[in-house]
Amino acid sequence: MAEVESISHSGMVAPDSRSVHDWYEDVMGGHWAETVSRNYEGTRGANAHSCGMIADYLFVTFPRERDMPGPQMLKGGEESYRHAWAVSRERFEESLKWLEEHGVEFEGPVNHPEHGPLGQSIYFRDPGGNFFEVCWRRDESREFNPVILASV
Amino acid sequence: MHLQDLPNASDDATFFGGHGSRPEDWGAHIPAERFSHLALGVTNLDRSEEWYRDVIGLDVVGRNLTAEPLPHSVLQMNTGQLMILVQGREIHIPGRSGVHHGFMLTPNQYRRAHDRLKELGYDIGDERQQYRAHGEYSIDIEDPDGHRYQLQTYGPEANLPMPGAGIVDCGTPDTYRVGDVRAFKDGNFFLVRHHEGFLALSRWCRHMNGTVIYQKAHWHFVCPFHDATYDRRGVDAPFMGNRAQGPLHLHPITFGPEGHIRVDTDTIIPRDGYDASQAAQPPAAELAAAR
Ligand code: FES
Ligand SMILES: [Fe+2]
Repeated sequence: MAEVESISHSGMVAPDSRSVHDWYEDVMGGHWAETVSRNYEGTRGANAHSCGMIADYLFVTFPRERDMPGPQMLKGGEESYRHAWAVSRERFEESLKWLEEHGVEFEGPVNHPEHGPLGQSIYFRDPGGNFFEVCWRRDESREFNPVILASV
Repeated sequence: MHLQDLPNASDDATFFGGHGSRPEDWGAHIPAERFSHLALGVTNLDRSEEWYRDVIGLDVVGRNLTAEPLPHSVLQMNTGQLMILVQGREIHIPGRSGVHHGFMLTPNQYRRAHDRLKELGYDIGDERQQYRAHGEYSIDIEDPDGHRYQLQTYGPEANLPMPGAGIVDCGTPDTYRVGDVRAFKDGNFFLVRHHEGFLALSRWCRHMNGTVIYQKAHWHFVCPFHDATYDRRGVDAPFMGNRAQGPLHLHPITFGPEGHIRVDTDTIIPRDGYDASQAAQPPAAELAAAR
């Protein structure tokens, strides 16, 4: 067992965080949480910035420019970082279609080696220039600890 | 100012998960049903793999297991989420831009991380400690390339209200009319008089321990943190999106020999809902009711 359960959130940058979060909602199926950070790391830590969830992952977005490779580059992250989400293998095709319909340009799908945990991936960027990936995983039926998001 | 440096021991998954949001309210969607992994550029793969394994405590799954063309290492967390460290040529670490990532630990993992990091000579700091609520813990740490992280947990005590103020004397019953709500700063509670009697409601919000306030015009309690709402009996209002995870806790009420209402703020009575037996009748009223 590892000594860590999960990665829960990231602080990100985007020049216009409101529009990025709208895009997270409309395209990524995410959910706008609020405009201060009081939720994500302390009920008393109210900083004015945007906060939204994509699936079980929370983003806090700081309204700044991300200084990084040109917009023509769709796959990146080795110079900084890239966030990847999984969908079930069954719904991978549908996900690609969905992204196409929403005007998202992506690279891939690429096939991962069969002895690894990933199946296929595509790569794209959010409107703030952050690197995103969507994949399906070969270990999707394996039992792991659940990701706990809120009190039950 | 933390009341304590370490969470109470527990192997349970963290209570809040650091979000206070509930995706089950809106469901899992394509193209992102769950988080899978964070790919991260590093300048020295051996050094970083060792650091994430020994300092953070991730499990190493193996090298070059994905289609990533650059040399890389795959590490795993207990939820199956992965970190993929990629040997990059040049790493760009944004300055004080707020960019960071948060690892979620169980309270016991956190306790062990705390000791481990101390032993390894890390300065265990929490930039935002002054903002944390009771039961929330976080350590700031940088990897060998300067990527910034938080190690976070929520102790089981986050679920429990802060220590009270002992027995608080709230005066005599005749100074309260039915419908009155009086706030007491000492011990953080409201004393409410209902037809059935008195309720001493803890002010600690059942979402993440914000302190609720009474909105007289609306006849309800509301939490300024994330708008959890409770009726005058302290019962969470049944609307979708209400963050409250149950009714406000009660404190026991006794009546002194001179009739004074005494609230024991050190004792908590958890409950699932309201029933009239929870309300305390002053002896005189009981007498009057019996007549
Ligand atoms: S602490 Fe979140 S609504 Fe009260
Ligand atoms: Fe954070």
